[in-house]
Amino acid sequence: MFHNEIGFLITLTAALVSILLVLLVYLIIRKGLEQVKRSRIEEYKALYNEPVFEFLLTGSFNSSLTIDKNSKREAFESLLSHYSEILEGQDEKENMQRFAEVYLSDYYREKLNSLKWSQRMNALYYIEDFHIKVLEEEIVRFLERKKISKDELVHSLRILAAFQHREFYQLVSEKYNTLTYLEYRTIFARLDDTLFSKFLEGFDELPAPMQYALLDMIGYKKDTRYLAFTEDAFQNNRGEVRIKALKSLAAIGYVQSVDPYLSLLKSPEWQERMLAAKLVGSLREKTALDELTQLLHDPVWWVRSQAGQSVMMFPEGRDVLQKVADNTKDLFARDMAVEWINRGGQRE
Amino acid sequence: MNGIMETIGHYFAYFILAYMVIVISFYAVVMIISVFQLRKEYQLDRDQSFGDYMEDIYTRPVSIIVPAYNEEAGIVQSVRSLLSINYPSFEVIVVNDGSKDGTLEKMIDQYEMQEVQKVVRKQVDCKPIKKIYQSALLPSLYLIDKENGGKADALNAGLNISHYPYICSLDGDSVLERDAFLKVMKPIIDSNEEVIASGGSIRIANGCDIQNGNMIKIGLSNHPLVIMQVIEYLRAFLMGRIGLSRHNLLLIISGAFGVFSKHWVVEAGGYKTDTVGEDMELVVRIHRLIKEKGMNKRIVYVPDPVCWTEVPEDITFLRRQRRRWHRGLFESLWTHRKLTLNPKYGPIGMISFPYFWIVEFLGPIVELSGYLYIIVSLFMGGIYIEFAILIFLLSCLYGSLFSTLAILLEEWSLRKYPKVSHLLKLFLYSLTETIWYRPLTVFWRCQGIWQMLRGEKGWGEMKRKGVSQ
Repeated sequence: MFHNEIGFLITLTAALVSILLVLLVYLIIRKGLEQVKRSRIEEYKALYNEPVFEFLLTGSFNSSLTIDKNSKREAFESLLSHYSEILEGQDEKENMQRFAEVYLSDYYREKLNSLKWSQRMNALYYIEDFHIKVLEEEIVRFLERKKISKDELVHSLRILAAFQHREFYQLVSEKYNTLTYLEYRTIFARLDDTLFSKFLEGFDELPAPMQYALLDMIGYKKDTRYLAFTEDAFQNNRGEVRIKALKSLAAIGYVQSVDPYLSLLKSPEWQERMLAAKLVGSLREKTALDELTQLLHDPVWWVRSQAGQSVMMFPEGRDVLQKVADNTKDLFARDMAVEWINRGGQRE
Repeated sequence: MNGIMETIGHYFAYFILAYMVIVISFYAVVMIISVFQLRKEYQLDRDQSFGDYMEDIYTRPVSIIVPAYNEEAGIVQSVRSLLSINYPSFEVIVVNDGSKDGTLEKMIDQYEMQEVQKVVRKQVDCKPIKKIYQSALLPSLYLIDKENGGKADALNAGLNISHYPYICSLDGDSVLERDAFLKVMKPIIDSNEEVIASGGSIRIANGCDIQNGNMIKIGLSNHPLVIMQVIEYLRAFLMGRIGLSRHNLLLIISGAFGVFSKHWVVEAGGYKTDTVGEDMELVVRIHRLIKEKGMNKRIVYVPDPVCWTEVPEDITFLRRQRRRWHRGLFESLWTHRKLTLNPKYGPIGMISFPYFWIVEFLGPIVELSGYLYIIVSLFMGGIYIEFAILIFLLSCLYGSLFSTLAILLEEWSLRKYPKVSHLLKLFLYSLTETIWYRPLTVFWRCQGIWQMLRGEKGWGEMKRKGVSQ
């Protein structure tokens, strides 16, 4: 009755088991080969570690070097990648760039055209890490591919930002202006002052996510040259832009005049209260100390915590907190005061 | 009379066969989704440079809650391993849930815990807290001493004490990878908080070389039960959860390691204390809340292995664990039975719930009857033998072959086991799954259902020998 079905299932099972066996054999062979390759790469790495390091420091390479094997290339890739994380000096970085441009750029150019997404991504990572500037035009072309994934797009823009690409502002403001705020932030983090300022000039015309990212970066750089710009942005905007500007001002820890910000300690928005508390703490603004101490009673934990930290920044901060801890009936305020007395306030 | 019996016998066989075919097709679909997902990231050198995220990570500090009940053997090492994780801002809250051994004393001794006066904002219910300690050495380490109330209650107590916007529950004897938090927080940051909970793969620590809470070398135990559990975990995580997570259908974030947005956990009412499956129940409740509020939030799963945990090597404890899991599954599904096939809850109601009811919960009963059918048929002969062969072949597909495929998938994509012998061992064991391990676990799960019907309470805790040296 079921002969057909049984026959079918037996065939199916047998077929599947054989496929699995074939896969197993393939994977075992691959694992074996990989182990061999791994150890060969390790050998190359041990062999070339010193010359490569020497080259990165001095810029001169003694032995005549050819990269004729894949494993050799991977050894260099891994050595350079290791040093790219630890080397800080400008000369060393330029040497690394030179080395990578000579020995690895063709390889990455090829990889950018790979059919595999992961291979293209790897190439992008290394191009950025080693700063292979000869591939700049290549990246611009890469951006224009018909099918490009979001990750590739963001990464390519990051690279162009790091290379301070000539037409970067036009490219981003006109063509690639629909990314998210976090994506723009990783991109803008790589711009030098000239290009960054160009974006600030066009600030009002840019879409909101770019504005947020720019303001965030100012807070991150803590650069007082952008102070006037940020204060303007705070005064002239509403909503999220205003909060982000305030956040950057609080991070910079300095403003021309504290007056416009004092009323924020009573803002109905808890973020504004918290950021204002941070700002007056950095400024050690005496006239605000009482109000700051009041914020220890705030219903929002973040505000209380920031208030405690800011009070501690004042020379007499410890005594003020001690007084709160001894006298208040508000358990949350006491808790926070004690916590910051113990922490000592030196933590950012 | 005989005729009727025969008809019933036939239809029953058809029923089992049809069920198996449906489940196999479902598995196959989920598996294909997973393969594509894994394939895409195949050979990607690194997942992300975290430097770009540091600022964001600072604004998303995590409170790690470690419930501890009679964990004196491993608690000090667990905490030490936690303190060395690679994440810029976090606090560790160990909750001593009325242990009867020296858990509390060990912690106080080792980390110079000192009693502090803290106000507790009672956001979710929990048993009375006796004392709160803070470490004199490490200000971000807290210890709560409370009355015994079970794991969920301990988690709730930790939740009340926690300061930070994200919480992570962690089993006492798990070992985390150093980058675990970076990996699971990444989707939350990337999505700009659209993702409100995120879990990672759990792997099995038995057989690995772990010292002082750090993974030194990945290994594979020689114990058949452990090897089978390794296979089971791989299969569940690699095939099931990647596929489900892709479409926001995930109903389980393992209690062993997961990060939640505290806001949502509090909103949902914290962990439920009267169920044995509090981890799953919470995820279901959050899903439900999201839908009821009509918000666009997601729960995701990261395929990277982030946490190593000890599994039972002893058959008694394994049996208890499986019975308990099955009960927990039922309790979660039953509490939220309203969601089943309710279009209001979208894919969760229409796909996840039916899947968990039919495949996960009722599956063992059908499978068990399949096995019984095979045994009985052998005595009946004739047409029944053919039924038996069919059922057996299907269960080979169902059990062994999918598991074997999972092993190969792991080797193909993630490649965590270093030796060829590991791969071979896993492969061969996985082929035997249908013959012994699968029937065993199916039997235990059915026992779990049986216990539940009889209204039995109580289950043994797992005895740990400690993974760390």
